[in-house]
Order: sequence, then structure tokens, then C-alpha cells
Amino acid sequence: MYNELNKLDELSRRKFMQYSAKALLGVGLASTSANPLLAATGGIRPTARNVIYLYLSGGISHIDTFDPKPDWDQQGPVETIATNVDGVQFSSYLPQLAKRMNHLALVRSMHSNQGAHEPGTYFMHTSYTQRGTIKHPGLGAWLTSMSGRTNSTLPGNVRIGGSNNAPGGAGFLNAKYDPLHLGSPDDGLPYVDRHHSVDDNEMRERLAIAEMMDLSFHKHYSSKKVNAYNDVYSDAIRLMNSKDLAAFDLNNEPQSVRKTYGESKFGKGCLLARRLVEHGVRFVEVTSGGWDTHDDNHQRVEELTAPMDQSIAALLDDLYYRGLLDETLVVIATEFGRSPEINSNSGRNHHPSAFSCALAGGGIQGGQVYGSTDERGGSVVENRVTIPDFNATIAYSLGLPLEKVVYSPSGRPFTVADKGQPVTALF
Amino acid sequence: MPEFLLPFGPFHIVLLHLPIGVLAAILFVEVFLRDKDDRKLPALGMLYFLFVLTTAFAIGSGLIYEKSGKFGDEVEDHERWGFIFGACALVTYVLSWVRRKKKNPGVLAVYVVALIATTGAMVVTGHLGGELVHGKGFLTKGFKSDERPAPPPPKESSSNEPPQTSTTVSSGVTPSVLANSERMDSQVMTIAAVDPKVALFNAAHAVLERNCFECHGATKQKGDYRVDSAEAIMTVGRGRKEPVVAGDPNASELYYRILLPADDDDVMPPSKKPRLSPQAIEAVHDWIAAGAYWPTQAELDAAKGSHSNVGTPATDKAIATINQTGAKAEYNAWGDGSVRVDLGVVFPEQLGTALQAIGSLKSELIWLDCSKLKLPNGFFNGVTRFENLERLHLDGTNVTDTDLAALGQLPKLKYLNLYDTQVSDQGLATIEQLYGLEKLFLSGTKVSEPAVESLRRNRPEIDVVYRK
Repeated sequence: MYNELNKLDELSRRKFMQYSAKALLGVGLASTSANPLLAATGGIRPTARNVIYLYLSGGISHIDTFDPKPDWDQQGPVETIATNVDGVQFSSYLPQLAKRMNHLALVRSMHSNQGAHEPGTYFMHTSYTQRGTIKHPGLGAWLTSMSGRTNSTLPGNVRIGGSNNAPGGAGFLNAKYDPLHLGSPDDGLPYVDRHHSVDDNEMRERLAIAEMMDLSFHKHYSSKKVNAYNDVYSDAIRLMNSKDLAAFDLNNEPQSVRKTYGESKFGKGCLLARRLVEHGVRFVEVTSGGWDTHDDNHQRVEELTAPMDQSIAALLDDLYYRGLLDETLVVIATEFGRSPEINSNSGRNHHPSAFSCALAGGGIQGGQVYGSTDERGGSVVENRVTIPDFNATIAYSLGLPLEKVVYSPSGRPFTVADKGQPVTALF
Repeated sequence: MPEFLLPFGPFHIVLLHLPIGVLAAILFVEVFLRDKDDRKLPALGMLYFLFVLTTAFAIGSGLIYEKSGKFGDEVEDHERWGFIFGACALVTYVLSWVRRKKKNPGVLAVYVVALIATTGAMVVTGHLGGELVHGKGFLTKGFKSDERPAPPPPKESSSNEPPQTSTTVSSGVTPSVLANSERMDSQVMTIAAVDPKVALFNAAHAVLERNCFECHGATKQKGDYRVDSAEAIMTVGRGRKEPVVAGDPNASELYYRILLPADDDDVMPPSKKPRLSPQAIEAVHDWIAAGAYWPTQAELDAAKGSHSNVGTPATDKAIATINQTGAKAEYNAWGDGSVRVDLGVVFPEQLGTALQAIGSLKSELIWLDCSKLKLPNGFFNGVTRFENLERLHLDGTNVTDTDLAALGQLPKLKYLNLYDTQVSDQGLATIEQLYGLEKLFLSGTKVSEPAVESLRRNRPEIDVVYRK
């Protein structure tokens, strides 16, 4: 080996070490599980395994919540309160979260270039802007496809509330990475029980018949898509027989715990998310709707934040005391903020150029604020974080290989968070 | 869009010239037959009909052409202006009829404005389209001085590197000396088997793959140039300059383009995309400087086998066995070959098998999650073999105070989760003797508040998470 090395010119010899190391550490073609960034930043070992992604759909007003501007004359009626971290202030709509700021890494310098709901939501979930020609995968699909499921009988990717075909599904990846959608947390997982007249044997017979009927079709059309559907069916059967089905049933949770999360749909969704993560579901998205406050912003934000504040605070506490917060990254995300100026309907309009998102758990250093906005909350003045950067940070905490190029069926190259760079200062 | 239309896309390049010609004719007629309405208006009527018709064809074929995917995001501006032009054309057409029927100066004024707007939209659309085909700044290139801007100063070339670097290597010191820790050492030795030329290629290829393939690869070949194979990357594209000169980065157009300032018309990746990092540029430079060697598939496979593997075959096998029991074992994403096992999700009847399989792991296991399991007798004796264990989840298990004594043999244990267990103050006394411990979860146990307080006092470095 050493002789081989000597034959090379000077440059190659010197660079050889350097680049071999780079290749080894995952920049090269053959990288699989090694994460180059971990090596580069020297020994940070993010511990996130799971993600609870809380999506405030419609665009939450950052000025009235996480990034208050008491000196701005269009701040509106809300007061500013201190949090349990020195120098960090929230609006008085978030009294419970203010007491848990020590868990949060608040990013006040989010920046998007998509000012409408659908493209904004798409961008937030996939790191790519919407295109007619391709569907990009969401983070949950990236996670389960790259790192696998923890619980082999439960789905790896679940979405609670919101719409079934909202962006951020499997995209061009295999259909089996699509999130399982639960419309209402109260209903748990519907249609999972066998019909009462079907016993074990009957079930087995029926499955055998179905398989027999499929056999010739599969022989003739053994395409990826056909196989993917087959996987979806067998996953469903495994799920029906899972010992962990109880995870979906909120009735198994003591009243005292249910009370802390509150009676709102979002609160129940958060509780269900905790139960699922506890049972090895890796990515759970919970949607809270109605944040599009074009009219009557102040009253509506006040009404919307009350249950949101309670539920997220309860979730953080619950995860923290159970020891789940270390390995569960809680993400508070939205598609954009709202304008500093109050419009003629006493509402606020869409405002993608500056807004706030937050992270907690999963190896994140709580109690810090990253980035800031100007005196009216209108634009980012320090440490701008783009949507791909934010998603790269999530992926980084999960140890996903950010550099790994995955090709769509049409041969186009894509990566987890496009070209986003993780904000390592948050760890 | 029906498939059979796709071949008509390229006709856009021909059809687009028709509305331009017709519009020029309209302007000509309007200007030179100013006061001869009896001759002018019928002629204009025909011209306008032709104008709207050819515009429709141009836009239609353009939309088909877009589907070929030959052009990327840059096509969007052209498309938007194309629609604006189309709308202007329609409005002007309608106004030309209104004007013919109603001879009043107001209508005439509106019509003239619309006609000028249409002409403006056409110029913009046409120019954007032209830039797509001929490259940015194609129109003015001839007027600019022929001299290309000098590339930014080349980085220190290999010849004037500090001499001690070369002496270190050539004086017979083995690579392992360069490494300053045992762990680094083993990595260097693993890579040593990789052909250095392949390593250089891998680094450069990763940059190309991530930043260039989208437009110069299998799906699009902008500028008739692609970079995804050995022959293609050397083949001159529409730029007419040699893209890669093996051994001479400064003569290589590819390298020149990635060095250009962000606002240059020729810069790659194009202005709107993120710049390459200095490391990425260096990787490309060094690969070209070393001869731009593109390895064969066999060489790549060989390189792959020798350095991408984290862990050992024995560990691979143990992981596979464990995963068959429903439990989840995997390498941590830290690239150090360490292993995490989540036993909590095991199929209940296979717990015994899983525990047996875990027995074939040893020092590599550093994270063990046993949440909610009914652990069999002897489990805690078995656990002591994992000398590097750092994180242990026992929440919701049947762990007892006496079981905890075994943990004293795990010197690296940092994280211990006892949430929702029967552990009491007696167990806490044992825990106080665990000297590596950094994080401890005690909610939902039988410990008393005073005992927790005393632990916090005696071992302030432990982060004790507890609420009654």
C-alpha cells in the first residue's frame, strides 16, 4: 500500500488522507449510515429517534406569540411576559410555554419565499418548492425510508388531523412510507377490528384466497408500484394483529393526564402522539388549523393560543418526566408568519419573510433563541434560517445523511432537505 | 397532456417567430398607412386574425415543449411573460375591432396603449426565451470586450506547499503516525485500502451529483452538456470550450465557471442556485489536478466494500437476528459502529430469543431500551457484559431495588430511566454510587422527596428529573 502511495504526485499524496477521510465520513459515493456533519463538528451526538411535528396550519402570527414587539405601535392589545429564561419574552397568550422556555430552542429568524398556504405548506414539509412534475417526500417519509421503523407492527409515520392528502407524504418514494392518517384522535384507529363473524381461521382462509387471486397478476406485473401495494396490505394485516394497538386508544390514558392536555382536538392529538412515540412510531404530525387570521387577528389568536399553549406545555412536561424528550424532537412549525401591520379588518396578512418556529428535545439545547427580527417583526436581521435549513436541522438531529442523493423514478436527484444547512448552534 | 402531442414541442422554436413577424407587420401598417383607413382596416383585420392564431400556436407548443423537461426552473419567467403577452394580444385584438366600429379618440388611445404593451410583452418574452436557448447575456455578449474576466486567484497550488508535508510522507513514516488518536488510526487504516484516485473522484463526484446532475444529467442536458459519465464530462457542450482538461484545473471551463462571481452570466450553478462551498470547489480542483480520473464500476465497487461499512460482520449478524424478534437493533447514526437496541417493541413471546441474540453483542452496545418489559430473572447479570453501555431505559419494567446493584459494573452508564417502576429510596442509595451518571429519571417511582433532595445534594452533577 505504501509504495502505491509513493508513486503518486505530491498533491495526491497529501490530499489522499484528507479525501479518503471525507469519503469515509460520508461525503463520497458510498456513504451509507455515517453522518459527515457529525464528524465535522466534533462529537455532537444528537439523540433524536422520533419526531412529534406540531403543525400550526394557516400561519401563526409570530408577533402575537413567540416574537412580541412591545415597542411597535401595531403590536395590538397583547402584553409581553417574561419566560423562565432570562431575557426571553413571549406574548401573554403563551403563559404555559413561557414556563417551559428552558426546553425550547426558538428560531425567530425563519424565512420563506412562499406566501400562499398551499405552496408554503408544501415547502415547509418537503424543503422543495411545489412542481407540477414531481411530488417530493416529507420528513416522515425520509426518516422511515432511510432509518426504518422501530416498531415493526405499527406504521412508522402517522398524521393526526389535517387533510389526508396534505403535502409531505411519501412523494416519489415507495407508497409504504406514506403517513397513516387519523382524522380524529378520539376515534383512534378505525376499521382495525375484524368483522365479528370472522374468526382466526376464516381470516386466514380469506387472506389465502386473496393471495391466490393476486398470484398471477404479480407474476405478470411485478413492478415496484405493485409490490408497494402488496407491502401496504401486509403492513395492514400486521397492524391488525399488533399487540400495540392499544397505543391508538386514548381511553387507556388516566383522566388526570388527559386533563393536562385539555379537551381540544389538538390537545388530544398531542396526547395520542406521545402514546404513539412511546410505542415506537417514529414520526407523528399533529395539525392545528385556523391560524389564518386575516380578520380579527387579536381575538382569534387569543382563542387559538389558549388550547395550543396548554397542549404543547403538557406534551413537553409529559415527555420530559418520562425521559422521552431526550430522544423525541418536538417541532413547532407553520408555513409563514403574519404581517406586522394590522389590516383594515383588524387582521394580519401572510408574511413569509420573517417568522418563528421552535424545536425542543432530541438533543437540542433548550432555553436559547436563535436569530432575531427588526423592531416591527418585519424582516430578519440576524442568523436567517431558511426552510431547507430548518428541515436540515431536524434531519441532522435524527442522524439522517443530509448529503445522500436519492433518485426519483424519473432519475432526478434529491436530498433530505434540499441544500439546507443544519443550524448546529442549536445542539 | 396526451403523449402524442409531445413530439410537437420543439416546433415552438419555429412557431414563435410567426407572431413576431405578424406584429411587426401590424406596426408597419399602423405607422405607414396612417390616414388611409379604407385600405388599412381590412388589412389589419386579417393581420390581427393571423396574429392571435399564431400566438395561440406559439403558446400551445411552448407549453408542450416545457413538458419535455429540457429547461428547468428558469423557464418559469419566460412562461409567465408568455401568458402576459398572450393576454395582451387578445385584448389588443378585441380593441382593434372596437376601434373599427367606433371612431372615437378615446378608444383609439386605449388601443394604441394596448398595442404598445403587447409589443413590450413580446420583447420581454422573446428575450427571456432567447436567454434560455442561447445562454444568459447572449444579446450583448458581442459588445462586451472579448477578454473574459480573470478567474479569481487560484488557490495555492501543490507545488508551493510547505515542504515538511512531503517529507513526512516520503521519509517513510506510515500513515498511522499522522493520526493522533487510536480511533482515527483505525479509520485511516481502513481507508488505506482505497485507491487514492478513487477517493479523489468520490469527493468530486459527490459535489457534481449534488449540485450539477439535476440540469446536466440524465433528465436535462442544459447547454448540451452533462457531467454524469466519464465521456460526457469531457465532451464539449454548447460553450465550445473544453470543460475538463485533465491535470489542469485552470484551463478547465467547468472549474472556471464554478469560480466565477455569483452575478456573472456564466456562473455555475446559475445565479439563483446556492454557491458551492470552498471545500466543494477544492474537491473539484483536486480531482481535475490529479488527472480527472473516472474509475470503472469495478473499482468503485471495490472502494465501496472497503470503507463504507460501519461495524463488523459479526455485529451485522447479531443485528439481523435481533430484528427478527420484533425488537429493533441498529447502528447509531454517529458513524462509530456503536449499536442501539430497542427491546421494548419485541414480540412478547420472542423476548427470550431476543435476549439471547443480544448476548452476542458486547462492547458495541451502548444504548439499550427495555421500556415496559417484564424482564426475566438474570437479566441484570447479563447486562453487565455490556461494558460500554451509556444509556439504559428501564421505565415501566419490573426492575427492583436489588437489581440496580448490578449497574455498578457499568462504568460508562450516563443515562438511566426508571420512570414508572417500583424503585424506592433503597435503590436510590445504590444509584448514588454510580459515578458516571449524568441523567436520571425518577418520576412515578416509590422514592421519597427527601431522598431525591439528598441525592441532588450529594451528586449535583446528575440531572435528576423527578416530580411527585
